[in-house]
Amino acid sequence: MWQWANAYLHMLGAIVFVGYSLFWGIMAFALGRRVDGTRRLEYLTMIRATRWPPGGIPEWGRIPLLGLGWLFLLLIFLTGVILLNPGGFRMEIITTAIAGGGSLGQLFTVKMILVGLICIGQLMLSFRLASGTMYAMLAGALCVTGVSALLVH
Amino acid sequence: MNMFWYEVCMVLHLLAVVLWLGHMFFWSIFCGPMVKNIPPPETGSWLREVSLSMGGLGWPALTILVVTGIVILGFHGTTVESALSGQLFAGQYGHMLAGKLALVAAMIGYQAVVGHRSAPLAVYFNMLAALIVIALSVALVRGF
Repeated sequence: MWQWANAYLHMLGAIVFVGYSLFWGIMAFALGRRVDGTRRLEYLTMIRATRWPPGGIPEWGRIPLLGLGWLFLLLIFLTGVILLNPGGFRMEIITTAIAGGGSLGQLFTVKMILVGLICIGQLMLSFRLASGTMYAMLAGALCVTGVSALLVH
Repeated sequence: MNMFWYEVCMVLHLLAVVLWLGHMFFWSIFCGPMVKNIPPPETGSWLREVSLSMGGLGWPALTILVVTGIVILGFHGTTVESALSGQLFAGQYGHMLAGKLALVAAMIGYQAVVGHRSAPLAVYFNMLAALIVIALSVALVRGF
């Protein structure tokens, strides 16, 4: 039951993170078709500055959009670590899985590299709202999903 | 059917789920309220409109889910006879599968009747159905 609940949270976190990446990708593409580069950056900066929930609680308690992305990633990471080893996290879990070789080890390595790239993309959005980063994050999130499907199988 | 096509269907099935439900959850819970409240109100409304301009993931995703779902069930040995006789829905696994398929049918009904029209209450029932479908799917793959 505990493992099921953990896997469920991992899946939900992944689904919402893909939604988050899709949102950035759609906004970058749709704004790029409607306004010039300067206006596009202006609108994307406005969007990045928004906070959730938009009302009901004090400003300091609201989470910025990028913060939501980090929260989803944290949820995915923590539940992922527990899925790998219900007893708790040890660095050997990662190194053993990578060093294990075989198709499982290779797929896991690819997944970890993609997750690392997504984190770099997410970090880059804090400094520069480049369309390429948003598209790459979406592509990365979808590739991680595909690799995860193969890993579970 | 060889393993390659089974794996292709698994990947497509999961990609359709995360894109469709990710869009649904993120837009309904986070992005919609956030973008709508960007000042001034005209800018917020326009940005919300822009964010919704590339929606329409429901039907394509559902089509992929149904087709790949049937192929995956077939790979596990499910036949039309076992489904019609009720043998497929026997036992704990069968009950969970029946629950999942019933909820998916309800979500297809929602998509056909409501679609992208405004239905504040119905949308939450649809999201609840989606949450239960995911829960059942995880249980079907990993067990409880």
